[in-house]
Amino acid sequence: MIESPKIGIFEIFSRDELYRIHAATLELLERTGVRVEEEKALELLNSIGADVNFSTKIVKIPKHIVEDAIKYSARTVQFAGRNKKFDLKLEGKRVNFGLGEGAINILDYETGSIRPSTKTDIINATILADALSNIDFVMPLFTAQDVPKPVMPLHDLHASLKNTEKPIMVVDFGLDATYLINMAASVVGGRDKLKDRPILGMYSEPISPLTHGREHTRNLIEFAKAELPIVYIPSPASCSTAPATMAGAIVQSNAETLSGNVIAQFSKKGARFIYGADTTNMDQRTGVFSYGAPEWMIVNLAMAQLGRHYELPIWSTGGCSDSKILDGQATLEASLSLFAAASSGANLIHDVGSFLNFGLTGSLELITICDEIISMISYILKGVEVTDETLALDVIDKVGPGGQFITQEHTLKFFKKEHWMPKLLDRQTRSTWEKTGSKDLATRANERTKDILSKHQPTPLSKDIENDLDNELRKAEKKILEK
Amino acid sequence: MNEIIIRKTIPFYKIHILLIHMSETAHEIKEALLTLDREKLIQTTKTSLDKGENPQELLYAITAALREVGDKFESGEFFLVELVSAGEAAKTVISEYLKPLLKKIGSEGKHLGVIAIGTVAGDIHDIGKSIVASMLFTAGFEILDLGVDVSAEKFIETVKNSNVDVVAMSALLSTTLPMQRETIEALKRQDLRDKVKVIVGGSPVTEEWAKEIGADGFADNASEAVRLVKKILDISER
Repeated sequence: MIESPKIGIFEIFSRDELYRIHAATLELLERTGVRVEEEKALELLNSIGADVNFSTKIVKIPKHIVEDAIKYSARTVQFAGRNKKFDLKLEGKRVNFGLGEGAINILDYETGSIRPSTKTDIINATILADALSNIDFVMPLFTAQDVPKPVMPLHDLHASLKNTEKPIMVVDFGLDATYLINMAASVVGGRDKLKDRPILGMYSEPISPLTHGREHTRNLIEFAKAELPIVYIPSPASCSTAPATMAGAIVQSNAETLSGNVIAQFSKKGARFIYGADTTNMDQRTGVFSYGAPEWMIVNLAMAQLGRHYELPIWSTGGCSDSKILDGQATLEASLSLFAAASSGANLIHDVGSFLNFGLTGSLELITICDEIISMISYILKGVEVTDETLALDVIDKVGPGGQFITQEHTLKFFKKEHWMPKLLDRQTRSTWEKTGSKDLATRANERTKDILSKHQPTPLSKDIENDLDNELRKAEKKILEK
Repeated sequence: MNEIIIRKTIPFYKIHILLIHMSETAHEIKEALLTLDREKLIQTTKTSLDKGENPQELLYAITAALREVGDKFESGEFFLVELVSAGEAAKTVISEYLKPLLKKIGSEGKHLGVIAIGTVAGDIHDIGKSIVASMLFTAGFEILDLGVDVSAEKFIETVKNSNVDVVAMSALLSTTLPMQRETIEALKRQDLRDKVKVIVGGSPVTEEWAKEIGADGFADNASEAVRLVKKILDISER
């Protein structure tokens, strides 16, 4: 967590450009509109004065409705941990980091090979995230490929709720969100209590370009009404599902997330809506949705600036890569994207250290490496404290030309506070490094990951609560599989 | 210098055949497709048809030019949007100008096979499926694009009514993935499974999943999908 970065908030647009993007977004929503597949949402939008065509499902939204929705939005979103000490306040420039979600493969830290992920892998990723001090919220990094597909999201959440006290964000896979909300409610003592202790958030997406899918819209409304944090952001690829120009892709993304906010706020005023976009480019040689693209990084900067302008909590992305293995490319893309996202001042940065292979493969070692990267970034963004004491004129005068600072009291007082210490990065001399096994970063990360997993035990749920949660899972499973 | 080399390497009669085959029209069609000039492609086609040129020959010229576009994509000279644009322009010309005439003279034109492609029921993600469709078309297949949110019944109806060789199903959501299995089961119930090959794709689709549901193959990108279809239909690369 970076409570209040002192420096480095990148702002890429001038005031004039920001205004033009906002104006263009409003024009788009009024002129082109969006398609809304969910009947209830169409009726809702019709009732508040949007221009709804019920046969084409195209909704044109007047400017004032979009701006009213922004005004109704929660300015601060509380995102709670099972343990209060992990509570997050999403507002201003508070920057928090969390895992990625939904990978279908794991780069197995025992064997080094890639295989389909299981529920046990979700548990391990959650335990690791629970232990690492720079990870603030948890997403089920993997999907449980070893359970029936229709009930998979239930198991993803089940594994997470049991193994971390940090806030949990799940993904909308189209499954009725009520099942997931009930599971989280069973952990805090009921749905009413969940509003005060919102330990569950949902990440959901409109389908670009400009379409609000049926299930996703239902779940958006469900989460808005339950007063739980709802991230509702598009993930278009520029050149295929958004214009080739970045400004155009940003305008479209903005229209997609803001029209989602209209549905959320008019379903429940003050809905805990989190704004943003996972917009990247379609790679022109392979057609893949690139996770390491600088296009995504600059969209993160753009959306954060816009989000701050709207005073909405902001979602962002960093710590992921297109590389298939844990190599230089993986750490390079993870570092750059994390730095861009963190210096944008976004409030929730996901995909930390989790993703290789365009989000399809998760790696526990990369989480461990990203913990280190975030720690470095946090150090940089804290800036330099300037006071009489830190300007250090007295100690400089005392040491004078040609002296040394090692043994000065001033040094002893400040060296820990003012300096960053690596946990994973190597600073040994060559000969010592060779004597200790000539280990590269990936090897050291692997060892640290195994070490944490063998030692860290997350605070378990009480037996009663665990039973309630298990019952809730079984009930939901039965209902879904019977259908 | 060039002349000498040509004479040394290619017998004279072959150059002659080459020249005849590379008619002016074919040349213009090739140029229009390689420069992604849709208007020029349409104009050239119209003008040649007005002059009484054989629609079959025009179709050959377009197919040959598309193959060159495909080669340029494979070699990295062309990018995906160029490949798809060329494919779409060719598709328009073939379906709007050439097909009606070919039907009249009783020729459908040659293709490598018929692919019925769609995104499964409950899923409205379009782009991945469309890129695969476009690349298969560019490679010489006839495409029946059923769109998105395609029910098992719709796939079955298409297999029954058209000469489908391959059913290609896309799914992006892990919750709609089971519809791929559902559709295969529905094909079995209708005794149609053995009449067609089935391939699956989409971000959450894996080799294991394809095997588990009894598909004939899986590809994780559009170029692979073309190679896969050629492989399962026993079509040699060139």
